[in-house]
Order: sequence, then structure tokens, then C-alpha cells
Amino acid sequence: MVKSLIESEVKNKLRIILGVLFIEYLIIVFSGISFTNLSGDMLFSIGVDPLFWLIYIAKIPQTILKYTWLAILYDIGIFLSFIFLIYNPFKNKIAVVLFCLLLVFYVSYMGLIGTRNYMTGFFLVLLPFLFKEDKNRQISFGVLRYFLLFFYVSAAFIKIQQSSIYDLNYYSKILINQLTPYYLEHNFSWRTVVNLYLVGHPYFSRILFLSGLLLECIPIVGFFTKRFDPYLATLILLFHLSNWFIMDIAPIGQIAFICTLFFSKKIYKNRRF
Amino acid sequence: MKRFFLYRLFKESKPWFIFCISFLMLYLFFFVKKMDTVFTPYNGMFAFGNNKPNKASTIAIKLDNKAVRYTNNFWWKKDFFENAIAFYSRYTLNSKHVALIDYIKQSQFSDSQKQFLYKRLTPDSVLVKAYAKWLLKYANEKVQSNSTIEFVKYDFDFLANKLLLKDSMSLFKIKVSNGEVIN
Repeated sequence: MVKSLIESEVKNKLRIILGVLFIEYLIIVFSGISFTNLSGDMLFSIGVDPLFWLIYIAKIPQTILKYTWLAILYDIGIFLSFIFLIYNPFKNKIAVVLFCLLLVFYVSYMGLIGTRNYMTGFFLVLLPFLFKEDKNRQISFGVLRYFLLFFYVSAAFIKIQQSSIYDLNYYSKILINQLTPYYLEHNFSWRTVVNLYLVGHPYFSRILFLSGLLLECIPIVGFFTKRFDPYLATLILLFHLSNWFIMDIAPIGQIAFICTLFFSKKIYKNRRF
Repeated sequence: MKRFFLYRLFKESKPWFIFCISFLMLYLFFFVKKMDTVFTPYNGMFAFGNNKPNKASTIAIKLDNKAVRYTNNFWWKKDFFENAIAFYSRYTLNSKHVALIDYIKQSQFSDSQKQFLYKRLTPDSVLVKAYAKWLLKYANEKVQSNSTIEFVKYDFDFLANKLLLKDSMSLFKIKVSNGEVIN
């Protein structure tokens, strides 16, 4: 009785994470990015990444994008996997299928745009769902948590290492290029006004840049204690949302991954990891 | 010491400990080499700045001399257009080569392996021929049976707190004749 109550509580929390991921996926699809929409796009460029190579050598993205019916089936597959997994988050076989489907989708999309977006959390968030045994699931939540913390702290570390913090005009020089398509199309808004202000006021943009750097550094606290995890998640989300507004880099695809921090202690009350 | 995650992991599960140590070593190796992979991302976003102060540029696509607008799309699609237009321009100006071709060329693979990798890891220029037309269709633009698609680079200067269009340069044009892309 007690066991089933705990299981049902854990299940609901896992459902919230999956629900957030599903909403992100739907936003991406309804914005026009899915295999069905991209069917027929045969131009791609990949880097020197063994996993990209493996997936492209197997001709998976090329084949899916060549046949519209296959692209439609693929998208339906993702949709149904989400539904089944949200219904029962403990079904690890479905999680494995969904993980592979989202991984291939991510790799294919990055190949099509010839660059790499940072939203690896889009499929990595499913890592703990891949395991059947409760112990493995708990450990993988811990592993994922440290990976997330390291992901942000390393970004701050590279910026400090590259001495970007010492250049007064550094951020304004970056910002000048962030919204150029909007200026070209005369698509002006609050964001372009703020962008112009920041480009023209390097001192103020520098303060913003250093604040962002501080937000990226703060997850280092998480290496020592789990007590502040919900606050860390809030700060990381704040960092991403401000980046969305100022730099036009949306975090859709990464939010569920960050949200796992909200549940660090709550998913497994007695967890050791 | 006992509070360390890896220590607790070692006590709890040896396979997980070995997995994590291997992953950390791999991550460290890729990190030092500045290699960006899916599972070991070199998260250097905006750590490397723009060296041209007060200058900006972008590439746009024009259909029959009319610029195609895409910034009103939601972020992922807008991001797709922005990156895809820039990527296709680079690809075309670089004699329809992607960067990986040079990497494979200089690699230690045998000639037959290289041919195999070219075939699988780089786009087929025949299939890509109609890419610009596909891109316009994706942007909900109707390509007429005889149209001209043009890729144009725009340069901006930041002067008096405004971003002013300084110059534009046609990068290349693609002709569509009877619905077929001819060059």
C-alpha cells in the first residue's frame, strides 16, 4: 500500500518532466520543425562527431527526409511514444525508443542547419527513464544532475578562460549581429530597441554580460549541496529567458532538462544520488 | 570524502562508477581538444567574440527581386531559415563543398573508405540542386515556372545609435525555367 503510494507520487513527478518535454516538442513541431515539414531537404553538413557519423553512415536522416511517408510515420512515432511514456513513465522500453527517436531528430536537424545548437537536454533528459531498475534510475538522475551543472559551469569557465570578461566592448560587439535579420526586414519591436541601446552603451551591456556569466557560474553550488537546486533551476531559466529576449536564443528544447533540478530531492525522497 | 558523488557511486555500483569515470575522461579529452560532440558538448557559446566592432552582416534570400521574410516565424523555424540561408550560401560559394570533405581528404582512411564516407557523410550535389526552390516552398513562397532566386549579403554599420544599411552584394543567382532549377 505504502509502496504503491510512493510509486504513484514518483510517477506523477516524472510525468511533469515528460509533460514539459512534450510541450516543448509540440512547440517545435507547430513552429514548423519536424521531419514531415523538412521532408525533401537534402542539404546537410556535419562535424567530426562519431555519433553524427554513425547516424549518417546508417543513412537514417537521409532516408527519412527522402520519403514523406516515412517522415510522417517518424513524427507519429515520437508523438505516440510521448503519450505512452507519460501514461507510464516506468516503461523503459518506450523511453529507449523515444530517446533514440529524439536523438536522431536532433542530429538530423543540426545537420540540416549546418551548425550545433546547445539543446542537448532535449534527449538527454530521458536518460533516467531508460532504466528498469529503480537503483539505476536513481543513479542516472544523479549523473544527469551533475552533467547539467557542469554544462553551465563549463560555459562560464570557457568565457573566463577566453578572457572575454576583460574586453569592455565584448558583449556589444556580439549583440550587434544578433538581430540583423529583424533590422533588414524592418521588423522592429521592444527587442530591437533594447538591442540598439545595448550596442550603443557597452558599459551597460558589459554589466549584463557579467551578470549572465555569474548566473552560469552559480550552478557550481550544486556540486556541494542539493539544497538550492530549485533556486539554481530558477536562475538558469532566468538566464535563458533573458538570453531569449536580448540575444534571440530560445531555450525551447532545454527547459525539461533544467526542470529536473526542481525535483532533485522530490522525485526520490530517500535517494542517495 | 564520503559525501563525494563518485565515492558513493563506487560504493553503490561499480559499473556506473566505471561508466562515469570513462565518460569524465572522454569529456576531458574532448574539452581540451575543443571538440564538440553530442554527448560531450564544448559549451563555448559566445566565448569567442566578434572582432568587427560596429559592423554587422546578414544574408537574405530574394525571389524575383523580392526579399523573403522569415523573422515572424516562431524561433525554431526562424533559426532554421537564418542558419540554412547562411549555410547554403557558404556551400554554393565554396564550390558545393562542405567542411567535412577537407577533413576526410586529409584523413588516414584508404581511398575506397574515403569514397564511402564522401557518399554517406556529405550531401549529394545532384539532390541539392533544387535546394533553394525547396527552401522557398518551405517559406510558403510560390516559385513561378520562370523565376530568379538570389542570395544577397547585407552589411550594416552602427552609427549614431542606429544600425544603418551600408552595402549589399549579390552572392549568386539561381534561375528557374519551366519549374526546373537550371543553374
